[in-house]
Amino acid sequence: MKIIDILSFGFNAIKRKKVRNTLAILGVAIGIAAIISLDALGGGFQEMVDMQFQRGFSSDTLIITTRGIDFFLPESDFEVYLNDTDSIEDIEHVQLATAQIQRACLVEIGNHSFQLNVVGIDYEKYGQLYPDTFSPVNGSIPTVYYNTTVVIGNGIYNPWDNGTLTGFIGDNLNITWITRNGTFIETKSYNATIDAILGQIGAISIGGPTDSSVFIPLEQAEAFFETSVADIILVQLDTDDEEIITQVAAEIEELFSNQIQVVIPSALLSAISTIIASIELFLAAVAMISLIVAGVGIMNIMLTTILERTREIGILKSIGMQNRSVLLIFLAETLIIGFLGALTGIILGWTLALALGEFGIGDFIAQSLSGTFVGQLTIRPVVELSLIINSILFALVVSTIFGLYPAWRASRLKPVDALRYE
Amino acid sequence: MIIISTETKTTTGIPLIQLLDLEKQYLMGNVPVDALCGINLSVEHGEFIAILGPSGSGKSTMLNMIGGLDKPSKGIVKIDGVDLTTLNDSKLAKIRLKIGFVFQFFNLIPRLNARENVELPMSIQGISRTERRERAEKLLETVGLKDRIEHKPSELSGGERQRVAIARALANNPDFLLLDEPTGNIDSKTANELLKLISDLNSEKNVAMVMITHDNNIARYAKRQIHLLDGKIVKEVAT
Repeated sequence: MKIIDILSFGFNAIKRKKVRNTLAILGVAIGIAAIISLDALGGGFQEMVDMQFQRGFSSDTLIITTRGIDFFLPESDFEVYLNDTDSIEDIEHVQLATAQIQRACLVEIGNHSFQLNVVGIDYEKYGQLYPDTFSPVNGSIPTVYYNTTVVIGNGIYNPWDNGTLTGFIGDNLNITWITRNGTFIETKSYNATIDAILGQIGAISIGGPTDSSVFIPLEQAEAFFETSVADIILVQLDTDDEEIITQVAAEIEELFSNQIQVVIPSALLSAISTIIASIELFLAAVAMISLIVAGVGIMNIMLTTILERTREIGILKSIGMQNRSVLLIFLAETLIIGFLGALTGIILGWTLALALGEFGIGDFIAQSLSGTFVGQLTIRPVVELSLIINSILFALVVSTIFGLYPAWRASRLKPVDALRYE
Repeated sequence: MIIISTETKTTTGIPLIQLLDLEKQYLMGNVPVDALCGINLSVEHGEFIAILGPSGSGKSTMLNMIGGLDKPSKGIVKIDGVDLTTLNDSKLAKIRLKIGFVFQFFNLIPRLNARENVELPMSIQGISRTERRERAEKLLETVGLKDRIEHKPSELSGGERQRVAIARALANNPDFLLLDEPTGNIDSKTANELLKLISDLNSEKNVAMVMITHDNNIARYAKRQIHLLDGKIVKEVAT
């Protein structure tokens, strides 16, 4: 019997039992959809993290913080000062160290106002640390200190991504800072002029620039926020040798009697990557279990089907069908169910991944990750061709495994007994 | 109306069907039952024989042996000189392709229409779609169902269903048909029409017929009548 005739015979039989087979197809589809959507989101997350290595992070950069990135240690009230950078720069392999002050402020630009992170930085040193991301598309980074200078992230200039812009080079930008002064609530504010707009970064960053930050000169921040306490100090080394980086990090911690933490962004990211990969693996395992459950469902309906069609099997054998062809006919039915289930599942899973990427999961993760360090974060689901092919293959393998036994039983029926079956 | 074909299937001297000391025992629960006790029978090419006997006499069991659907406990079944009892499942299936079965309860596949049912043995044989379609339509025309080609079995009368079954049995140009009470579920008028068709096929196309019946009126269409009782041939009558 020709393969095409076996397939069309099987397809014809499936069409006759629509409800039952649709449910079996749905079972497979749910399993495949789970695999596709989880893998697509996981892939998107991984891609986003990978991008950080290229954009927001430098492998030779260290971040000094007193706040601590470890959730379990008690917070220290130890402080580092802006001029601590001098003693850090004396350490061997340190190329430069620069402090940063950041406060949440109300920023008015054009007719719009936003609650944003205002970061006081040394423009020149910051530019050296992040040459790719701290670079303007409009205007230029001022090289001479002037207290009303301001550089804004692309997300402030073009916040809705629809052509509506908030302001441009030379426009006024008002920064308002509300703080406690003893028992009073003090409101301070000043007008700055936009000098430069950064290019779109589209990534999160630890220490580095983000699309939603406002950058003012460090001297101005010191005066305006009335502090010489640095929130973080960024350190650039002359090497990306991991051993030296770890050693310098330890030396810096020693310098401050271990009251501060030195974060190595690349190490942090690779840790995040490992966590993502293991979560992904776990989710994939759960999704695969759901597909195996679907396989058990297929086996169940095929055993019922074979019982119902015992007489038909007898007829087919009596008119000369080989045992092998009987086996293939029933196997073809399970493969068709598996294939249709896989196709439906791919469409469902892809849609689900797009929907989750579009509405929320990215923002949700961004919110849970976002502290002072982190900026905007978007996850675009990644559905690769290999994922599609693999899930079709996986569905076919599962349906073969679970369809084989019922089909084998059908093929072993004795023609006389099968014909006599009522 | 009947045009006797001048072309006859070549006879080689070897009988078409040969049963030698055929015995079959069943277990009914734990009790062994002798269904056939030493049957010897020979059927020539182009013959038309009827097997008569009360129910339980072993008619169907014998037919199943001839058709390679069941294996005897003892004895030999030869088709064209080939001993079926020595063949494996796969070779038996190949033999069955060349045997036309017609059953009392039609045994058509309900979800397939008349043409598709007739095409089925040809599709098992591996004949191409266009060729088997053409042949199926021709066969349905032969059995008088030209305008019932696209009908499902459920839309056909008993007589029509049996005609479809006969067309299907003829699909792979068999040397003989095995008919198990072909008129058992059909009224007597339709039954006579059907038998006319069967004897036409026998005489025109030289297809041998082995037909089970318990109706003497039907059996008279055959050239030879074999009477079975308790698994033994008790009488042979030539008509």
